[in-house]
Amino acid sequence: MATTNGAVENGQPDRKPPALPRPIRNLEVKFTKIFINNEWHESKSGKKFATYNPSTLEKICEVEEGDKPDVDKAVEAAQAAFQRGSPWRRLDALSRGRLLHQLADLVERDRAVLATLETMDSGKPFLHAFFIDLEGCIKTLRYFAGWADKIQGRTIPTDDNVVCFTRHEPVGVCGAITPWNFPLLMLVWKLAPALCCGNTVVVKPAEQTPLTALYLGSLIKEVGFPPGVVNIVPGFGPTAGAAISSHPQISKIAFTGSTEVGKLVKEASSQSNLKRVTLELGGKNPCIVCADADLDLAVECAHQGVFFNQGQCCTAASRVFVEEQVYADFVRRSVEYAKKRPVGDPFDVRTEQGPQIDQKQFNKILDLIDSGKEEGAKLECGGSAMEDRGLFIKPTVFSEVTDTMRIAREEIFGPVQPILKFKSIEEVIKRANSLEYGLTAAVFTKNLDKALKLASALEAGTVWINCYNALYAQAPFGGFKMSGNGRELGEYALTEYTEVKTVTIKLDDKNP
Amino acid sequence: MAGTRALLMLENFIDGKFLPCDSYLDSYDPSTGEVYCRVPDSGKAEVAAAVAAARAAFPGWSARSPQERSQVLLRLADLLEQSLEEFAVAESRDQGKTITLARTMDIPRSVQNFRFFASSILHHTSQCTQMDHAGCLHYTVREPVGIAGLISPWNLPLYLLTWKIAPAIAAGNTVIAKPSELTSVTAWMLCQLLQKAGVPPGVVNIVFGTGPRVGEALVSHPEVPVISFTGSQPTAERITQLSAPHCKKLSLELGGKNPAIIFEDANLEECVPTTVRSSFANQGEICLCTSRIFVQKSIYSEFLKKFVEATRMWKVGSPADPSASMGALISKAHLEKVRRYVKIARAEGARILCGEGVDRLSLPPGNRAGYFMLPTVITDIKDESRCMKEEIFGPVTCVVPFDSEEEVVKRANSVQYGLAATVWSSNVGRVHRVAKKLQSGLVWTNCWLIRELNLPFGGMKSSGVGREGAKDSYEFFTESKTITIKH
Repeated sequence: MATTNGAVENGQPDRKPPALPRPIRNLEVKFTKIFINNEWHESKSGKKFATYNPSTLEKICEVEEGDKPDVDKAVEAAQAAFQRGSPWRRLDALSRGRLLHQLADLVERDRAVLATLETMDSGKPFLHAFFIDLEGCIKTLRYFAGWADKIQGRTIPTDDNVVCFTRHEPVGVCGAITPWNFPLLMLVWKLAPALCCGNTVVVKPAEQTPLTALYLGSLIKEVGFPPGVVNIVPGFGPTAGAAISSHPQISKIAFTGSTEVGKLVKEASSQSNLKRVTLELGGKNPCIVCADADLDLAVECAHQGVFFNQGQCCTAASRVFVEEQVYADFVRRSVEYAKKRPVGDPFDVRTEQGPQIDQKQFNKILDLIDSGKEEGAKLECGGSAMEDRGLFIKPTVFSEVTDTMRIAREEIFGPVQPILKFKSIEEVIKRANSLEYGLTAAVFTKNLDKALKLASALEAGTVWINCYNALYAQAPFGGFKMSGNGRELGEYALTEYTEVKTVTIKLDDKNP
Repeated sequence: MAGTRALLMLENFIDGKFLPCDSYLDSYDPSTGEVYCRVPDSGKAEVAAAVAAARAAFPGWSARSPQERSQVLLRLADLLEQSLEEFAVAESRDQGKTITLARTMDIPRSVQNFRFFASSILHHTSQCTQMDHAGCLHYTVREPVGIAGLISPWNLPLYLLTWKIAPAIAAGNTVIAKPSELTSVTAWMLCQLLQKAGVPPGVVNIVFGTGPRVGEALVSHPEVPVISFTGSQPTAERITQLSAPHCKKLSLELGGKNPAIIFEDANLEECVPTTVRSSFANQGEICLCTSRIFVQKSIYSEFLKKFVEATRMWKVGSPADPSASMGALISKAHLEKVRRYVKIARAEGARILCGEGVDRLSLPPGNRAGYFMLPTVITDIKDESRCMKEEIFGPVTCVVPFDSEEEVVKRANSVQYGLAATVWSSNVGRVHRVAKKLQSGLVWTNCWLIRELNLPFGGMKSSGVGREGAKDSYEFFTESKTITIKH
């Protein structure tokens, strides 16, 4: 039974958010092994790898390191669970949905634990993990739980004397390779529709952040999903990830990560068994601020849009195009915001920005910051690491940025806001569309014509008008061009996890 | 013993309050023939009060998000489920059906109705198109209509009442319901759960009484734009006439004279017990019951023998008896009406193979004044006979032979009704072909009454107008608006 926040009396739903939650002190990490058939296994090789807290740079624990033999074992389990006549295949749709609802209930029950783990493992502020990541997980699980008994084919009239209808069947064993920026949320975005449609899954979470995925495994077992329906193999990309991408018995793979690795995943699919591929890749998302925008709104949205999650969002507003007339004002206000942004311990309730995920990313971001300086952008604030503070980088704003600079072309994935100037709508459309990315775009204007013209013209899978990062379980999300293939969330996600079978039955006219 | 017990007094439920009425109707326990309950005999004044309450509650209720309304429906489902036994006992007593049926079908389906629409309301999308060449965006939105009038029957009282209430309020409407005066108890009990579930006052109002008094006041009221009715054809005609001046949207679920078509390659081991069920469940008082059984000649005598044998095992007993397959009919008047059809058949020269006038019905002493009769099988009867054309709505079914597929389809279609049909055959081409040719809103092949709530439910021809189901009920209880934005 679903729990609700607070009592409901007199017909008034309790609209207050939960009281400020607290992280779990001294949380013991219980789940560090490979999850196959609802059991915990050691790696075949005996190898383990460490996962670190990017905030303290300390090792949290060691996790079993899965490789091809472990992936093979997981796929075997997933295949067995998918066999015709298996408990999972014979389960009616409503019951399947109910299992997902129960999983949502347990995620809600253990919300603080999961948020604590997520913060420890990824460095994101605890309150963000609790209110954004976990909220998204619960809503997405419930949304797809509701779809389970609503999946329908079509009956199709033809110009022949037949009955023709489509069956929407599960694809089979699905692989999921998930990133470190929203570890649990990106996993749920794949798991929920996959399970809702009746598939079985083999997951490889990012090696930087395996812990919440493994904890979810324990909840999957607790709910009572049949063994083999969900399997989780922590490990590295070139080993476990590659094994999944090229496994001949995996029918579909969903990957969220960099465009560079996305290409490898798609290539591996072509080389192996042409498994269906969905990709959620990078972005260099334009945020277009017109002169007639509500400037306060635009500044705040653009700020949160680029700096949220330490800048580590595929949706990051990392090219802010501001119309000439309001450029100076916009820059000035943005710098004020950036200077005020609290950077620090992610468990501190005041913190808005934690550390970057690891040294590699940290170095890459600083390198791009340097390129900005070298290529002639104007450094307005920040521009370096916080002294003596490990992987923390100061919120950085560049103005006078031009299209040819690296910071205007490459995904930074860090707390850096490049602000560019534009004169006309036609010009900004061309410039916004000029890259190979196309994930999201945002437009700030009060004018109807501008809003809809830009919405139509921008080559992006999501266009936000006078808002930012407005994501809903009901609305599809995905990229144009090299930002991805396919869509997650919404009814559209079901297409990715469904195989359509057309059945045609001849009705002969003979009277027996 | 009976006379000393206090009568159950029902009250109207308007604006979140239970209100007494100026006059009351007697309501009978069909298994004993005794009055045990008094039902408000409401009229225009009560409808006016209900409309005022529903009108006032509409802005707040319709402004809530589907998620919020869904939560309320889920809570109501949980509360109803927690009181399942209490409701089942009450339904069985009020309607005459067995406690087993109330416990396993009526009340669980009522719970499911709330849960089903609580979920489906979260997954609708409407349409959107782009005319880039003209700079136009077109999209539709669906909005609740306002106050929905719901009139529910006495055969599956809570089941059919909740099947209307759930989608109506899920979509954001407020409702005024009038259950049948013959079976008002579980509706009244449901009102007791509403506040606890979080249903705001005025969102669900229930006015009890008769069709001619309160029913007519409700359907003629200008501020009730939508009426969902399940019941008889004459009443449907009256509703249509009264609502015509106001151009109201109507959903009418009426009767059936449903054929069961049994081909020679039918699996008789499954067919016989299912066809007994489809003929006599709930005393034959389900609009979906099969009352014309067509059996292909080559298996006719075998089927008839097995069918009559199985029918004789269909036990008539006190509703509280867990071994009873069937209880009492709804009322004295209805029992007489059903018996009259058997008399008519006999007078025409038909053969009664079992049941009424053939076998002896024995009942416990306390039930002898109840409205019981035995399940009855008629054969050697012409298609033109009244028993083969008119809805009897009781435990009476006719079995006749047929030769060919073409012939039986024609005969099955030859009545004014078209609600449900069952087809028994193991031939893949045939089942699909026959299903396609039947003038029937529902066709069940090799089964009966397996409900897929996602898909449309309703009848053709005189069996009604409109469909109900996830999408269909949603569309019925909302208005569609197409918005064009030119830029």
